This record gives sequence, C-alpha cells and structure tokens, in this order.
Amino acid sequence: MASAVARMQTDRTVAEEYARDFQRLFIGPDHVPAPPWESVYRTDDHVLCGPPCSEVHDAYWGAGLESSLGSREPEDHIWLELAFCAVLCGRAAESLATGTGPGGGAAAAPWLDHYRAFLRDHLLLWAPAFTKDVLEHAQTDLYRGAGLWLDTWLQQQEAWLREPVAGRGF
Amino acid sequence: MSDERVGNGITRRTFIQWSSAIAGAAAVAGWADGEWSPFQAVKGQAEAAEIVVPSGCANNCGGRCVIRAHVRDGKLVRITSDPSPDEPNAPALRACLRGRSYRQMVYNPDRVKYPIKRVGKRGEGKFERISWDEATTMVAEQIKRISQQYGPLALYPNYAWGLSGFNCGNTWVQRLLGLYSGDWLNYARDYSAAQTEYATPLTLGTYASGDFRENWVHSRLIILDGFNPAENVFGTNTMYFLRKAKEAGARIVLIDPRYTDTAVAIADEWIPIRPNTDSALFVAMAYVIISENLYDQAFVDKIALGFDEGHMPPGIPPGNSFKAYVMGEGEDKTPKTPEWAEKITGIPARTVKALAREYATVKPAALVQGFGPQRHSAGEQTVRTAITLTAITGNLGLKGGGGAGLGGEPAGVATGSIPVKGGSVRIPVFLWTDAVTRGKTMTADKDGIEGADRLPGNIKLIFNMAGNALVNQHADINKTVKILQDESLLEFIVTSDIVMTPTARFSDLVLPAASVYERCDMITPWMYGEYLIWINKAIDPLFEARQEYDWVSEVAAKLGLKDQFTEGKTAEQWLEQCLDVTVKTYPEFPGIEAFKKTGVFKPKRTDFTPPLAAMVEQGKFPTPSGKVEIFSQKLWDRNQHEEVPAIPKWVPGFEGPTDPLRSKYPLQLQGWHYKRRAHSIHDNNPWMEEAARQEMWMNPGDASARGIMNGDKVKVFNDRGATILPVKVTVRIRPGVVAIPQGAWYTPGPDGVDRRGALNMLTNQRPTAMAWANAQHTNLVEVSKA
Repeated sequence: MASAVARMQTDRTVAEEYARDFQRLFIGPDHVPAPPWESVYRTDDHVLCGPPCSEVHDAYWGAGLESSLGSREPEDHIWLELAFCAVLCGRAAESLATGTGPGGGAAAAPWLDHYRAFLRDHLLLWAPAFTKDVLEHAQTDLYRGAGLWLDTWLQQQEAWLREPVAGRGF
Repeated sequence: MSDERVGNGITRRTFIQWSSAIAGAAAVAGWADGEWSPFQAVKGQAEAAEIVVPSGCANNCGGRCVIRAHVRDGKLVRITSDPSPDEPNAPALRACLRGRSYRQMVYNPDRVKYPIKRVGKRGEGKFERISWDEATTMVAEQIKRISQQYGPLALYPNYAWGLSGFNCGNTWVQRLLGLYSGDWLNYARDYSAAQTEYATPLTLGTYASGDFRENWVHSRLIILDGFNPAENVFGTNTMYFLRKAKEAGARIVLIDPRYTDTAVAIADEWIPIRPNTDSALFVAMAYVIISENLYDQAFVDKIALGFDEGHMPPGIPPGNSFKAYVMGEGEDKTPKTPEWAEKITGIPARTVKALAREYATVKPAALVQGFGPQRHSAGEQTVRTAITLTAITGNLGLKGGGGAGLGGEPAGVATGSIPVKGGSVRIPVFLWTDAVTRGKTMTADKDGIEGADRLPGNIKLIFNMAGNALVNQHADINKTVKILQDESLLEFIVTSDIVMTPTARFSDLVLPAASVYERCDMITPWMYGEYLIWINKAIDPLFEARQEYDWVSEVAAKLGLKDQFTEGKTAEQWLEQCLDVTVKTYPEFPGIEAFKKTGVFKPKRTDFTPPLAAMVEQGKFPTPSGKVEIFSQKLWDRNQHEEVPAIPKWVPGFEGPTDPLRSKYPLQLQGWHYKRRAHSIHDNNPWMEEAARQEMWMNPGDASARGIMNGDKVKVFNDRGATILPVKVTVRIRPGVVAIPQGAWYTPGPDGVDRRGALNMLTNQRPTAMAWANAQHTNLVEVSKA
C-alpha cells in the first residue's frame, strides 16, 4: 500500500485509476459492490440508515461526540467508525501517557470499555464482510492493500477482545 | 516497559501495542480528536423518540395517497399511511404496497449520491464525480450555447413523472427556459392515455366523460373495458367504490385478455378478448342494438351528429353515417354482425349478442374504460366506438351510467400554479425521437405539431427530470439507444434522479435528486377525488442530493436570472403561493399552517351530478358542432378515410390479430401496469420483487405447443429485439396472447438481448394514425425456451 501511495504521488494516471476504483467500489453510479455502511450489511433489506446506524449514532453520543457531516453521510460509514475507534484509543492512550487525575492511568478504563463495546457491537459485526467485498472487487493495489490492512487490523482487534480481562470477560 | 496492569486489567504492553496500531490508523493521526476530525462535541439535546411527519406518495401510479413518515434522529424509520377512519363517500386515502415500501428506495445504497458527468461514449456507463458548481456551470453553458446555435425550440424537457407534485423538476426547468429565451419545446398529451386524450374531447368536447365513482352504487351493470384498478389504482380508492357498487347489486363484467386482479376481486363475468379488437366488439354490439331497435332514437337525435343519414353535416356523401357503416350500408357493404366480430375478437357471437342486449336494456349501465385498451395501434377507435354506445343507449350523462372514453370527473382542489412562460409549440409526446432525428421535417398536418405549422429544427438538448422515458419507457429500446448513441444528434442530456435508471445511463450529466421525503411538495388526486395533500420534508437529503429547484436556481444565477427565477422565494414559498387560490376558493380551508400539520385537505362534496348531465339535458356539447361528434368534420378533413375515419369504426391498425405478420410472429404481446411498480419505479426494490416478480403470462396451450413449462426462462422476440424472463403458465390469459408487465429495467447482456423482461425491447415506435400516439400494447412476437 505504501508503494501504491508513492506511485499515486508521482503518477497522475495512477491517481486517476485509484479515484475510479474508489468511485466504483464505494459510490457508484452502478451497483456498489462494497457499500461502506454498517446498516447495509446488518439489515435484512440491505438499506442505509437502518437501526444499526442509529445505534452507532448513540455510541458517538456516549462519547460526547456527533458526526460533523450531518445528514450528508450516514454515521455508520466505515471511515467514521474507524475514526471513532481512533478517538477512543487516542483518549485512552492520552490518559495512560499523562497519568493525570485521580487513579492516573485508570482514567483510560472508560474509554477502553467504550472501545471494546463498539468493536463488539458494531465494527466486528460487519467490517470483516465488508473487507471481504473490498478484497474481492478492488482493481487496484491501493484498495487491495487497504483491504488487507483492514483485514489484519480487524483480526488483531478480535484477538485483543478475546484476551481475558479480569472480572469483565465477555 | 513493565508488565504492569493498567486500567481495566489489560497489560500496558498489550494496550500500547494495539493502540499504536490504531493510532497508526489515526496517524494519519492527530486529527482524530483534532482539527480534521469528522466529529464535533455534541451540541444539541438528545432528540425525543419518534416523530410522525405528514407526507404523501407523489408517484404516477394511479393513486395519490397519504403517507405518515416516522422519523427518529433524522432517519426515516417506518412508513405508515392514512390513520383517519373510512367515512361514506370519503374513505381514508390509504397507500398501497408501493408507497409503503418507499423506504427501500430512499435508503438504497445504490442511490445516485453526487453529481457525475459522462466520460466514455454515451451509454457506455463511464462517469466521473464532479462538484455541484461544475455541474450547474455545465448546464448553464449548454443552455446558452444550444439556444444560441439552434434556437429555443431545440431545448426539450422530456416527459417525466417520477415525482408528480408541484415541486417538480420539469416545472423549474421550464420556468428557467421561459425566462431565459421566452420559449422551449413542449409536448402534447402523455404516454398513458394519448389516444383517449385526443379522441374523447374530439367526440364530447370535454375530458370529463365519465361519472363520479360515488354514483356507481346506482349502476345496475358495470362493464369494465380493460379497467384494472386493483393493480393500477386508477384514482385512490377506485376499488373501494367498485366494491360498494357490487354490494349495492351491480353486475360487473370485465373485457380483458387477462383475468386480472380486478376480475378476481369483483367480476361476475370475464370476456377474454383479443388485444386491439375492442372496437370490433363495440361496433357489433351497436349492430345488435340497432337491428333489435334497442336504442333511443329521440335521445340520439337530440345529442349526436352522424349517427344516421338524417343527422349528417352538409356536403358529406351518403353512406358515411355510423348506422350505415354498422348495418353494411356503407362503402364496405359488410354488416358488422356478432359473427363478423367473433372472427376478429375471438368472442363467441352469442356472448356479443347477450352483452349488447344487456347493456342496452339494463339501466343505468356504466361502460368504464381503462387506458390499456386505447394503447393500441388503432386505440382511438376503441374510445370513439365505446362513447357512441353510451350515447345511443342513453347512458351518457346518466347517474350510474357515464360516457366511457377518458372517464373521470372534474377532479381535484383549486390551486394556483408555478408561473411558466413559453411552451406553446408542442410535439405529440411519443414523437420526441422523431423530433431528434427529423424535427425540421415535422409539420402540423403530417405529424400533429401543435402551436406552429412546422418545427424549426431538431431537438438538441434534453432535460430528463425524474423520468425513465428516454430509454426504458419509450418504445423500441434498440432503436432509441442508437439515436441516443449518435452524439451528433442530441448534444446534451441532463438527468436528475434518485437512482441510476437505464435512462440516466444514457445521460451526459446525472444529478442526485432529493427524494420525496427529502423535500416538501404538494399533490392533487391522480384522476378521481377531491383533496389536496401536503408533503412535509421528513429528513434531510442524503449525500449531495438536492431538490431541483435549488440547483436550477444556481443555473439561473449563472445565466444572470437568479432574482427573476426565484423572486426571492424558496420552493416551499412557491408552493404556499399556489395555495392562495385554495384559501380564496374554500371557506373551510383551515389555513396554510394548519393544512401542513394535518397534511390533507378534503372539501366535502355534496353535488354528484354527472359531469355530462347538463350538456345532455340541453343537447349542447362543447364541440365544433355542439353535438356528440360521432361524425367528426375535423377527421373527415384530414382526408385519410381508411386509417382515420370520420366515424368510429373497427380499424385493424398494425400488428393486430389480422396482420399477415402473424405467420412469422403468431403471438400477440401486450404489457400491463404491474401492482409492484409505478411504471419503472420500484423495479429495483427488493420488497417488490418478493411481492410480485417480473414474469410473462402465457396460456397453457401456447406453452405446451412450444415445450414450455411453468417457471421456465423464455426468450420473447420479434424483428425489433428480444428479452429473456421467467414465464407463468396460466389460464388467466387467453390463448394466442402473452403479456409482460411493463416497466422492468432494460438490462442488456453482451448479445444485446435484455435479461429483465423489458417490454420495450419488443414495442414499436410507429405512431397511431389519428393521435400520433404510442401503441405499446400492440406487438407480434414469438416465444421459445431460453
């Protein structure tokens, strides 16, 4: 993927090829082979903005956040969900690093709980299937690479979730 | 690093390991909680639970119904319909499965999301995302260039009713073009009913030829000629009124090649007729009625022109009256006996006789025509022969009777309209492909051009605002596709839609439209009833979708016309302006804000006098002669007496059951309006495919002769094209006829053969002789196992 990014920076036709692949995979106008929204994978009718999307909205609210994109992008877009993971981990990491406040690093706990729940209740329920679709339909190294990266990362998160947590296992 | 336990029990090392992976994800980082974050701190309050937004169904399905949009957190979570109770003569305006499954359309992940422009050859399907600014600049430049180069009549907003309200893309485009150059090319009539829209007023001087549905309870006999409201609705609650009539004792007879859902629900008798032969049946019924003296001579003398030789306009040679034709005293010397009709229609002579006697003697009797029987190669005759029957039997204008033809009543509620200039030159709606290829040769006399003697040139720019008539719903897809692919003909095609239809694929620019739930609008009844529905905007548009008004305003700004175009108003304010008339007309109108809250305004009608009653009583109709024009001087003067006779006749047309082409293509193919679609809308809706799949009906005799079993995939073909779809083998269709529900999306395989059952692969672009109309139900085909 890194080499793909490098090529894109130097070669305009490559960049255009990536843009076309992106449009074809995730936007349309033809049938979208890897729709990047949780609701499409988790509703029987494969529609946008179904109940999972509302649950994701609630999860963001639980962290005091809301999407700044408004109605323009359903809140369960893969990008938003990954960014939310980054926010939660970033906040946990910050608590650990600074060790400030009563309990020091223990302030990381609620963020990690939130993160676990989000992985368990959302991302891991659909992103593996989405990733499979990306890998199956991507026509460029960039998106095959992104698919592989996401696949690996999801497996790591799943493994981490399986690690025993004292008094809290699930 | 120590193996110290942190937080909720994971080791510091493990956590750092994983979180750095994430931070890696975010390492593109820093932005996760920062400047580039797609999140912001929660601003508002948590929204209350579900809210219910009054809305409506704005499709051209035959109904206009009340919708309640259930919204939570800005998302459409559920659709219900009119919660109000049924009252006598005012049943609730309940939506059918089409309206109730609309969420699947709005939230389809394949929606058109951003403006896209064509980058490959036209129709090839290669598009590239562009910004709205680029898109509106492109539209403004093309309007400017093409108007200057070819004149304003080269710009054509095509027939499109994907969204059939006041806040309609075509209206805004027409308004802009009118302001820009003063004119644009318009169309006359529509694909649904062009022949009866021509023939009914020609005969009666009015469109409202029928009766109020509320009066059907007075009918003792109701003959439905290809009238199928159980599937195509034909006015919200039309089935309700038919059931009331049946409960009140009316006998209901259906004339149709198919035993339709309407027949299943209410018919006492089914007369399976060959398609395109209804006028032969009606002419033979007239023969029985005249020869058995079952008609009302005094009544006919009072109201009609051209029934018999004693009531003809001056200067017409003898033998040209309707009676002379029917009795065999005209030029063809052929009495139009039931036996004569049996050969053409396939209906036994004894059935023709019995139906004629019953219709002439049981009063009041309603003869109600759907639009299918007129969508044939001589469908105007079906309309005019039926109207003539209602006139000679005295049912015309009678409560519980009615005048056949277009039918209907003066429907709706008085409103204003959006002001639009220009559009006085009109082509017959079906001839737009002709106007693209040979517009400059088209004249008023030969091609039915209205408002000018001839067209100055060809169409060069097409606006297609929520329509699929550019490819899918127009006849002969293969021929249309060739015309569209020739980029020297049409120089620019712009589509606004919520989904990528087969038509949108042939556009140069496709714009993402706000769905009916993402804008406000207002709708009137489709044909019957007196009510007005307000559609509140229920949710914000997804992605970059916009209502047409907003981007057309931007185009107007780029043409220097912003203020003239908008007059400073939003779309909603324009709709409110349309209500000024309503406020003035109806003292009981609750006021605009209250109307928006309830979503429905139903004035209470108390007068159900049939629309034609006063004309019949005075013997005066708004036609040139002041009479029911059984004989039309206008048609006589067209001087095409074979194909466009001045009196109603059986005219074979092209590709009917008597066409010699049957030796090659023996089966008559017709379409029908399927309960699962509104034309082509909902073809991509999975709920609807589950409810009623796309399939062709075929009689068991025709199937076994071809080795075809129920459920097989079959190929249906003629010289124009071919399509493959599953077959339903059923006795609900008469032998010699096959039927494919119209509106399936054109889906060609590599061999050019359609794979979805798109009817228009097989239909004909040849217009009918009288009204230059579409004859999309008249086709000869052969069928084989695929």
